[in-house]
Amino acid sequence: MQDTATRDPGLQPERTGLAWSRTGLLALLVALLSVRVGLSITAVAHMLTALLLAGLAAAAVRRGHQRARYKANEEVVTRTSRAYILATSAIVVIAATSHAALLLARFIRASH
Amino acid sequence: MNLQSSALESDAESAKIKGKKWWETGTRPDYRFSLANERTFLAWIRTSLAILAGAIGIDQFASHLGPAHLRLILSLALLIVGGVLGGVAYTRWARAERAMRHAADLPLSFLLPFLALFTAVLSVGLAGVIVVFG
Repeated sequence: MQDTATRDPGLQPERTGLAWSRTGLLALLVALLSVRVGLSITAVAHMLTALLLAGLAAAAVRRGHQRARYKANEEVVTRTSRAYILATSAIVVIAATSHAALLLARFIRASH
Repeated sequence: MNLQSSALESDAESAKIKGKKWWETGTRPDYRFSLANERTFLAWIRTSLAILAGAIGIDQFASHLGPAHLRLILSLALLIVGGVLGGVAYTRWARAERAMRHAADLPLSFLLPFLALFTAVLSVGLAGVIVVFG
């Protein structure tokens, strides 16, 4: 039980935790879509992208649990929290880039 | 504006000398603001992931929709915008956090009007594709 001094009536930690979980579930959906692309044209690169996104999904859900347990007035922006944010951003950029590159490569191959 | 940015720069320099990271400079903002900033970052990431899902969807589940060139262009446009949003989400988060630590104005972002314009153009374009080829 948190005492009144640390209780947050706005439920900010819980909302932040849920935001991470939602993001994780969406990352899992995009991972499954990447698997689908990989299966239809058997590209290893798509499977690696899917694996990366699945890793992001797991990490985001885990981070969501951590955030929901956050006690008011702890440090919010730490080395760890920045690492999570930077990694999330980087994985999304990598996924977008690899999908774009492979789509273009597939199209060029098909038109030859 | 210039005063503030030069103050931020000199602060960044003195932070470098003291071996501090930028998120340790200035004064710690109310934890609720930092958590809200993190949620805004995550909202942008979800926007980006949804755009990526749309791009893959057009490529994989709409093979009857118009010529292949058109689908390629649509998918590529979505992938590029999704990738850019995913990357800019980090810089937006970092700039907002830094501004809060130094009690500066929150940085203006071109993201929102850009996304609104992109969504509008895309919806009109998709409607056109469906009317012409659907």
